[in-house]
Amino acid sequence: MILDFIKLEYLKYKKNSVVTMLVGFYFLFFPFVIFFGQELKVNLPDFIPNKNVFFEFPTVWDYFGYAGSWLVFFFLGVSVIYMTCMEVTNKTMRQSILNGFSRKDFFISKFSSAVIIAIAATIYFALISLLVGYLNTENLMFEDVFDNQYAITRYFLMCMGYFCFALFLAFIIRKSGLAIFLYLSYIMIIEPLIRWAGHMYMFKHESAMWYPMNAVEDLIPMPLWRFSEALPEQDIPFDFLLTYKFAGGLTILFSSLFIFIAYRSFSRRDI
Amino acid sequence: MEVLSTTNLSKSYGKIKALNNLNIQINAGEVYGLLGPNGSGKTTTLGIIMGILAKDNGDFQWFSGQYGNNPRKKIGAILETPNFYPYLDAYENLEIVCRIKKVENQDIDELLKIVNLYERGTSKFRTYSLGMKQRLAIAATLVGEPEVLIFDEPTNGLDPEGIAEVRVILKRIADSGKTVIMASHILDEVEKICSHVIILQKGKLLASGPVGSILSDDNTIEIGSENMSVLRNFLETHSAIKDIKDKGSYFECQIDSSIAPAEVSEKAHSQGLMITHLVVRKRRLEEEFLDITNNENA
Repeated sequence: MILDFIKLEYLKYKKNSVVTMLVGFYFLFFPFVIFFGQELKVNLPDFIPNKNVFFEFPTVWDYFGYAGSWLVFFFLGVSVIYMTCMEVTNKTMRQSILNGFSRKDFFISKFSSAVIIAIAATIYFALISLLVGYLNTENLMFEDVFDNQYAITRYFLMCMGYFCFALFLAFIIRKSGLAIFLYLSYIMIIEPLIRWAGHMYMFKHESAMWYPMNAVEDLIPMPLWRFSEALPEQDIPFDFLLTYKFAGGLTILFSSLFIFIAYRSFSRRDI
Repeated sequence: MEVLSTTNLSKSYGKIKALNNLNIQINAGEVYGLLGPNGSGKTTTLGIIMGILAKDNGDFQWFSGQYGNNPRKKIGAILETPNFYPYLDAYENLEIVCRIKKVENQDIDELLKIVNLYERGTSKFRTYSLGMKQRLAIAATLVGEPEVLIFDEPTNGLDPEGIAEVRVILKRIADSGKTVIMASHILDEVEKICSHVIILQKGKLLASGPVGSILSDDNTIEIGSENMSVLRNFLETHSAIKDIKDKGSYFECQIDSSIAPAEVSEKAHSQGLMITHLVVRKRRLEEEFLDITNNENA
């Protein structure tokens, strides 16, 4: 049944220029990260020995994961929102129900497309990282290759974290322009503002890190944080980054909540 | 066999009662016209029975419950506008409908031929005229040979040629023995296609039944003379004539079906009145409709 839904979704989007373009950019831009990294001319901080560290096992997982997370957040997250909102604009969401879909069917088909995109994005990340790491690591040791603290699983969870939030906004707001605007501004501006200017200002407690999109970001943090011991002491009485396990748990919790609310709202509203 | 029944169906949009305790029955094989002015609750009714609008109160049941609570795969429906993916062609759009309805081996060529779109089947939906879009929507309702078809103002916004084409197709579908529910405010259309009517106003059921039972047996006559004031006096004193309306060069009035209009003319003549204009016609649905809705307003 799920396979039928996925085939149907493929039929809908394979000729949609916006979706194919956004998804295409993700796959196209990922390899460019390599060239960008190699051309990097800025002075590296002292604690990074040389820029090869970006391309060697095991640090290649961190570097490519972090770069990929930006591409996932932007191109794929936006395309997941667009895929749902487009059905509202064209009234094909309404027509799918008239034609015999239950609301559950419709919701599952949208959720499954998000899962498929997350799987494809993760496989691509894994292949590129393996390839680049293989080509750039001099003394290839098996334990180095997979010394990545479940980077592939974390990458998939990161994708799902963004996509569940995207689906939540798409099903609640239904207008692609507004939903995309809120998606981008919440993640880049609103949540950091709430955390740093609100939460941290009022209570200097580590719960300021327990926000949904911060948890998703901490699944694959900026690679430099790996060397954070070398950074100057910050005026923060707790760990700046969530542990991977905690970030993963929070992501699963918030994502389930987003999906639950989106489904409840969708199954009760007039469409 | 009963296809659909509703009991006390109600829905409000804020303070506005869009549907007020609606009770209707739809029987298999009949062609129903759902009539009412704009805002009378036609689309709301169809939206609720098709599961896209939530009801506030009451209930409805399709096919006496034999297909459970989602019988929509057995129904072909268009509400308000034709809804398709603009960047896909007719074949791809109908393929999507087939997959949703779980219909295999649908002859899409055949469907496109029925609605005269076969030649344009590979053009993208967004390039279609409104009439073509509407015809594709009708083709989509026929996917999987559904038992019931629902059309919501199918000729709305079309040019005269488009209206004529759509009507021919609808007439053919209506004659094929399927159950059809067609919402419209164009009475002429309903009169030509439907066997039954359901009249709504402000969310309430005003009348329902076979078209014949709604139409009274009275005839309408148009009668004119050179001396209109004498003619009016004459008509007003005639017991079989009622509802006299001044239409300028003639009067329009209702005449009891037991009296032959020629008798009226003859009697006028015998009183020295020269009749210069006399037209007799059956009462139209439009007149009945206006009467029914006006009585309710009065």
